[in-house]
Formats: sequence, structure tokens, C-alpha cells
Amino acid sequence: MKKIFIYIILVQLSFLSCKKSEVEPLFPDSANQRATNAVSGYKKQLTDAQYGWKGAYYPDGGQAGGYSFYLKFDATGKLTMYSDIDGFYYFSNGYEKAFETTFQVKALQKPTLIFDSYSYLHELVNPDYNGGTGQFADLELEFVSATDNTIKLVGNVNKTELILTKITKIDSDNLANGTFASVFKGTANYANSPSFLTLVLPTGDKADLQIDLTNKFLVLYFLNRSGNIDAVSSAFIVTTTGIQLKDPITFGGTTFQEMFWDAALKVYFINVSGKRVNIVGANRPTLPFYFALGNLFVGFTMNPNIPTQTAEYKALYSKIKSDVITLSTVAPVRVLGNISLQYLPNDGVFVMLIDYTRTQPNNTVVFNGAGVLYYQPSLDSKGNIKFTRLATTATYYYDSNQLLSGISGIVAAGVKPLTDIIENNTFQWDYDPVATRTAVLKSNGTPSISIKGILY
Amino acid sequence: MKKILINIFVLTLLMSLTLSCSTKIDDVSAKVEGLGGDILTKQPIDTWIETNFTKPYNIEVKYRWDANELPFKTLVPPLVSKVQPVMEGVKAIWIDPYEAEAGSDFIKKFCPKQYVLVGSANWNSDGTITLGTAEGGKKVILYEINEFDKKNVFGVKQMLHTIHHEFGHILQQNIATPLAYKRITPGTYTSNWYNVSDDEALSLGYITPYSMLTTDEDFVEVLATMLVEGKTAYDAKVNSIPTASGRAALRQKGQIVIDYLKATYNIDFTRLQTRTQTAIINFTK
Repeated sequence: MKKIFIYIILVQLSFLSCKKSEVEPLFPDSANQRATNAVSGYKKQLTDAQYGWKGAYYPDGGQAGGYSFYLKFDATGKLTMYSDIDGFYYFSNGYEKAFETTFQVKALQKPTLIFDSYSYLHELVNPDYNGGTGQFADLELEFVSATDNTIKLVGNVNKTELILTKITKIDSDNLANGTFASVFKGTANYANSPSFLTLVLPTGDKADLQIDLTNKFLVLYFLNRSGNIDAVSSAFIVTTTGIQLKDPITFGGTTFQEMFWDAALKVYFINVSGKRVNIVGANRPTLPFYFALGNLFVGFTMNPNIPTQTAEYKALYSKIKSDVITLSTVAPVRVLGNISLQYLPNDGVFVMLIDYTRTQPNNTVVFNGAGVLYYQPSLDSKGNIKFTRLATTATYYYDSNQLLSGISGIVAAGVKPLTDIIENNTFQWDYDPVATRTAVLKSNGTPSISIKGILY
Repeated sequence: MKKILINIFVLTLLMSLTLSCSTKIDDVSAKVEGLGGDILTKQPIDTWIETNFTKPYNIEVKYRWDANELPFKTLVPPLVSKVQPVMEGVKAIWIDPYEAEAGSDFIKKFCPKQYVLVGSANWNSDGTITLGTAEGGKKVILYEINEFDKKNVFGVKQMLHTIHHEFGHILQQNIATPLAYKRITPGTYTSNWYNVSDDEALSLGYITPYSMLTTDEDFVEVLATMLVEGKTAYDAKVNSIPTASGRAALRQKGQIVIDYLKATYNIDFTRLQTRTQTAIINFTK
């Protein structure tokens, strides 16, 4: 019994004998002081850059396209901004004009850069676009890491990625003297030209390049070693020198992350092991027709008025056009527009879009749309395509963007001479050997007919 | 022996007490960084706000982004160039008429002390948008500032409608709305107000569909509509209602609003209404 008492006392003493020592703090300053230092440090770094920063901004966790922001921060909280943003509501042509706005660096959960009054950047955040969501972008971005020349930030809400890189006097001059604007406009013309952009490497590897300047996304299509179509893609931003990709692209043993704009030749080029390779516009893609269909283009407009159109199609078209008018016994009459064949990659079927309008004598348009027929394609080993008509029909209203089932009987009857040919024949379908962005649909049997169309 | 043991025990307890008190007291007077709010360098518009709102009325106008002031939604700060035109409108069409009718102390006493400006609309999950909110008579958040255009009479009226609406809430939170008001159209209030068309609302005796949310919203909607649209337009709107019950209900509601302002705040509604109308005409000229 006594022993137990002694043991208890000894145990208790052993605990007490461990005297608390003064713990040296791991950091010399308090957490509060360190947060303040971090904030003022980041702010100083932003404002100290003599010519400012280039920001590569990728909304929605970096899954969407990119936007460039050239930013010059001022110690009084002012911020001068250029951007490759184009054609939004409150601003157009951010690449042409500097916009003055304000910013803050503040400790929220982490040191955070806040774009605190409206600017080009807020056009991406603005919920008035896309019914309340905007482009899933951020106006509050927290600092993730920083070196002397690069600062990485990430958005607080939508995880937008922003990478700031210090710019030089040359970049700064290019903004002020309009070079940035001319690079942007040049890129827009280049990307939207009817030609197909082709990249041919010194190794002989060929690819088709697609630049989507609206969504700031770039795709490179090519045939891989086993003869199948392959694609590599990346979001991009427009800079003062050209296009900068978010992720490097590797193709044919070459890796590149930047494309340079040649203002004199109006072409983009890349550097392949020190050698310049131009990406030029061509009349036809490097991909074979059926590989390109659904990727580089989806459809084929059989416009009777294109200069290279065949006489037999012109004759056929004028017959069906007058047939439709004759069959329209009740005003307003139906007037035929273009007829197109369009591939729906997700469904694996084609639609024939028969454009027509109905206009009152006083010029009021009562209908602007298209009759829609569906076709199941089949391709034989010799590359002959056959179109089999499906039972479904529809009418497409262009103005309201609505697709309702059923087609006008008058339209269907009027275009019968064309649909009979399409349905009762097999065809060779390929690029036109000469004309830009044009394809030829040539029948194998009778009647022998060639139809030319513009690829879209 | 037992005594010794007990003594030792007591001694140990005492020792443990002494030793456990050796913790040093932290210096709690250390300075906390970043207290006292954000320190921002004044921009030209800040000086204008100070002269026209903060000094005379003790109103803060916040236009730079501060997520703490706003609902947790996708929103954007306003264009700086829109701040002054909006606030000039607020001064001319809301503060000035009330000041002239009820005296400057009235505005100083009841005005919301903080205006927060937001560039975009406030999008709700049901697809509707909110143009303004008021919180406890202290803060008013105004949305869609970027759309503001001085020459756009409809837009100016819409924004001032929001402000008069929110101020109405403050008035009714200080002195409650007469109970009689709540008995005029009972049973037709609904949270699905956004599915009701303007005409349906009028037929049921509501000046706007939003009035149908609660009796409080109803009251301030009538107040704001009468002030911003003016007597002629309001009467014409009421007279055009096809149902007799709708016309009667809205006339009764309008009269209660007029009587309420006179009885509680001693404001002559007709004169206030005329002043507001003149202000709108002059502002949008």
C-alpha cells in the first residue's frame, strides 16, 4: 500500500521535473508581420518592374483558351493595361488602346492581387455574359510563387492561371507604337483566311494548323506513322511578337511553344533547331479529304455562283429553283438559297441543308431557314461514298436558331431532281485540284455530274 | 508513517502548483498589421465622392472591389467612369427632393450610410437578376452600374426606382407600414412573382410583379413607382387595368403610401413627387 503511494508520488514528480523551456519561434516575426511583409514584397515587385509585365491568363482552371494582358503597375494603385481581348461589349480592340484601371495587393487567405475596378480583364469575369457565369475567370488571384522575372498566380474562385513575366523596353515600345495591335490584326486575317495553314517540317512531316482566335485555341492535325489522324492542341495568347502557347506542342520530333509573326510576309513561322519554317496558306489541306472532314471543315456548300462551278450543276440548280417557286402556289413564295451537305461528326450522318426564304411583297421576311434531310454515308474500299436517305426530316429557323421536325413538302418536291441524283449514285469526293477551299463531288454512274462546293 | 506520506503528498501537490505556474504571459499588446481597413491612394473620383457624399451626408461610396461587401457570386466592379454620373443621378433625383421637402436632417438621419457599386447585374439561380439590395438600413448595393447612361430615361428611372425602393425599406423599417395595407390584397403574394406578367400583376392589384413577393416589397414598389413614374403615368397605368378590383386595390395602396409619409415623416407626397419628376427631366436632358 505504502509502495503504491511512493510510486504515485515518484511518477507525479517525474512529470513535473520536466521544466518548460523557452521555445525559440521558428520564424523571427509574427505570422501577422510576415503576411504584411509578403503583401508589401509582392506589391513592390509588381510596381518595381520598369516596363511592366506580360500576363498569360487562362480562365477556368486553365481549361479554356488564353488571354494576354500587358500590365504596368504603379505605386499609387493605378494600372495600365493592354490585352488581346477583342470585340466584347464594353470594350473593343483592347490590343489597340491602353486602358487605365486600378489594382490592390491585399492579404486575403493568401497574398492576393485584386483587379479592383473594371478593365479588359473583367470582360471575362462579367456574369452578364453566359447568363450569370461569365467565362469562369477570376479578378482575385493569389500569389503562388515568384522569381525575379516570373510570378505565378491562381484565381480564388475559378482557378484561373495567370503567369506574369517581366517585359523589356522593346515590348513596352511595341505596345506604345501599335506593333501589338498590328500583330493581332495580322493574326486575325491569317487565321480567318480561306486558305488552309500548313506546316511542313524539314523532316517532311506535314500538318494542318487551325487557329481559333475567338476561343484562343490552336490545333495541329496530322497523320501519324500508322496512318491515322492525330491532333495536338494548346490554348494560346497573342503577344507583341506572335503567338505564345500554353503548353509546348511536339510534332514530328520538333517541339515549339512560340510562333512568330512576320509582318512583311504576313505569315507565322517557327524555329526548328535554329532554322526558320514558315507556316503558309495553301489551297487544300495536307490531310486526305475524309480525314479532314469533321476536323478542318464540316460541310460543303454547293453554291451555283462560284466561278469554277460546273455547267451541269448550274442547270440543275436553276431548274430546282424555278420548280420550288412554281410549286409555291400560296404567297409568300419560297425562294431557294444555297444547298449544303454538312457532316455531323457526333452522329456520323450528313444533313442536306436546303436554304430558302419567304418574303412578303413589302419585303418583310416571314421565313429565313432551311429544309433539312438526313443521310447515312457509307464508304467502300475504293473511296466511293454512298448517301442513304433517312426517314427524319426537319426545318431549321436561322433567326431563332430552332430545329423543328418536318420539312415543307414544296421544298422537298422541288429539290427532288437533286436528291434523286444524290440518292441513286455513288460518288468520288475530293479536293478541287486548283481552286481554294473547294471540293468536287463527282458521280460514278448516270447521270454523270460534278458538283463543286466551298468547304466550311 | 501515514502522516509523513500525507505530508509528502501535500508537498508534492504544492510543488506541482508552483511549477505549473511558470508559463510566461505573452505580450498581447503586439501591433496587429493591416488594421484600420485598406489604405488606398486617392483617385480623382475619391475626392469628388468625399466632397459630395461623405462630408455632407456621411455616406461612403465604395466602387473598388471588396468581396466582403458583396454576396458570394460572380460579380464585377464598375467602370470608374460610370461612378460620378450614377452618383450625380442619386443626388439629384433622390437626395435633393427629399432634402427640399423634409429638411437635410431627415436625409442625414435616415439615408443608408454605404453605397456599394457593382458593374454587372446580380444573377440569381432562377435566371432573374437583382438590380439593388438594402441591408438593415445601412448599406445599399447597386448593380448594373456599367449600363448606366444619363440620356437613357428608362435606364435612369430604373436605377432611381431601385434607390427609392431601397430607401422606402429604410423608412418602413423605422416606422412600420400601416396594417391596413397588408389587408388590401391578402392571399395573392407569391415567391414565384417572376412567372407573373406585368398585366397579370396589375389585374390582381400589384403595380409590378415584384410587388407580389411580400407586403413590404409591395409597399416600397408603390412608393418608388409613384415617385419615379410621376402622378400622370401612375394614374394612367392604374386606370388602364381591366379589373375593377385591381384598380381599387392600387388606388387604396397609393393613398396609404401618401398618408403614411404625411403622418409619420410629415412629408407632402405630391410636392415630393413633383420635385422628383422635375429632377428626372432636368437630369436626363
